Amino acid sequence: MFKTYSSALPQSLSRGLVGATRQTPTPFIQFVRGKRTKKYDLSPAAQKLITQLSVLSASRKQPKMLKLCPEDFVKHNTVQEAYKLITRKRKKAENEKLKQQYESMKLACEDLSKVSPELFEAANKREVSKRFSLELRVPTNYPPNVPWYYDYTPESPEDKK
Amino acid sequence: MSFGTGIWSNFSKRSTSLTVSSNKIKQGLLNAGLPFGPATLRKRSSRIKYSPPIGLSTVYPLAYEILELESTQIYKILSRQANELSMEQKEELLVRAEYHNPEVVFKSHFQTNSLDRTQPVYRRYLREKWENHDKMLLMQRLESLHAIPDTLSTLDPRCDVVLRFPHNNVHTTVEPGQLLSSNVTKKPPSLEVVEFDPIPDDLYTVLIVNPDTPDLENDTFSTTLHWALRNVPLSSSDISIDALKLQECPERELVSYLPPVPDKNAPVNRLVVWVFRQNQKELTDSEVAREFFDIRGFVAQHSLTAVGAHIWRSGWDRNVPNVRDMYGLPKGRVFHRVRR
Repeated sequence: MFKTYSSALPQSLSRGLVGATRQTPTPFIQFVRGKRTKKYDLSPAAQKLITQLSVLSASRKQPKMLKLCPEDFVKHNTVQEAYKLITRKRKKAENEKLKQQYESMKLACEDLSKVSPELFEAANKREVSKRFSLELRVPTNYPPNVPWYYDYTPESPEDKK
Repeated sequence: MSFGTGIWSNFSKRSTSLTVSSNKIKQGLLNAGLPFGPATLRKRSSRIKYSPPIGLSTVYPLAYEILELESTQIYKILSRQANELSMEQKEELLVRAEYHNPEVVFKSHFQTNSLDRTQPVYRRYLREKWENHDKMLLMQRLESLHAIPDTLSTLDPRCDVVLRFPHNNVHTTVEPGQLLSSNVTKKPPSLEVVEFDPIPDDLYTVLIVNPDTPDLENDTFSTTLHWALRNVPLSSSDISIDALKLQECPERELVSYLPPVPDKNAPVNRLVVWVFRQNQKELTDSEVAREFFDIRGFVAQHSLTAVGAHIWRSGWDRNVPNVRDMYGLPKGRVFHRVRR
């Protein structure tokens, strides 16, 4: 706590009086019994909650452990293992499929390079500052509800203005 | 497929040790809910208070079915390719087929005292439990007490050695590195050698050595052999080395048991138990010196493979003279700060 007294203030008057109420030229902080000096950014209710939580130990704030009897503990583990097995199998199938797709793409490219090297070159031509070609549709999980805008007309530059 | 119809309820080819013997617990594991309530809970009040988690009874039958189907497929592979698979592959498949069987899981978590060690799954569960605690503890104690390399250079532990002393009819196991009183160690210990590998039955050698015997002439310490057993047959069903087994065949005891009788004011003695596999060879050596025992030479001479170890410590206490009297040993020395 700060104890900054102005030289003009008589010591006998200090208790219970705040510097701001007196008409002194420089502001100063003075000890006042029971006066709250800490600055809190939060509302008093939120601050109270935080104080209460800080008193509790960390283990009390953890979510409660499941209290299972041994049979249910084994059953719980069984369910988890079965779920792991299913996920593992699905992941494996997905990876297998992606691998096959990649292999067939690679094979097609090799075929193309043998049949017509010019087309292969054109297909693999690197376009500077273009990560994706313009023709490339953004990959989505499902096809769009409206696949193609047949009546699409580009905006004229006058409309933009 | 539902409970009681699949491979996990078929005991024509599978061992009956893969099922839970208590009917109430078995019904609890082989039903969606708990028909007899939580039978494993001891107190009646906790049985009444208990409520199973929500939704488990709907999911559990599906999970059981999925895992059982997987197990069925593994058993099919085993029966089809029985001749092509190696012993390790077979063992691995047998473990995988039963590893998630709820009854097996229950037994290997909650009924560990009565596990059938001939079954690969149970051996796997026991090995995992051992590797997670006891193996690490043993290695830590052997290294911090410098049993390694004071007795043998190193150890790759492959079996669990359980040590018990028959004092006072209390059959508690000794934790590696424990300081034991002379009253406890006055009679020879009994050992259990728990093997986890699917090895054929083998002969074992057990040595108990003390590398802390004072050797005043050379101003050093020497190794004393306290107990030596040889040609002890062990298998996955018979794992214990006790007095009964040694009485049957007295020539298995190469050097009789000498209890640790440390001298007063000498440092605490380390007693290291070493268990060796003999690799199917008989040990026919008859002359082994107890004093100034060269354990490295002995191991090299008989080409033994160290598979397990244990260690305890013994210091002087007021009972040591009584133990000396029991075995007809001479009076112990008393060491002083200044050598006399």
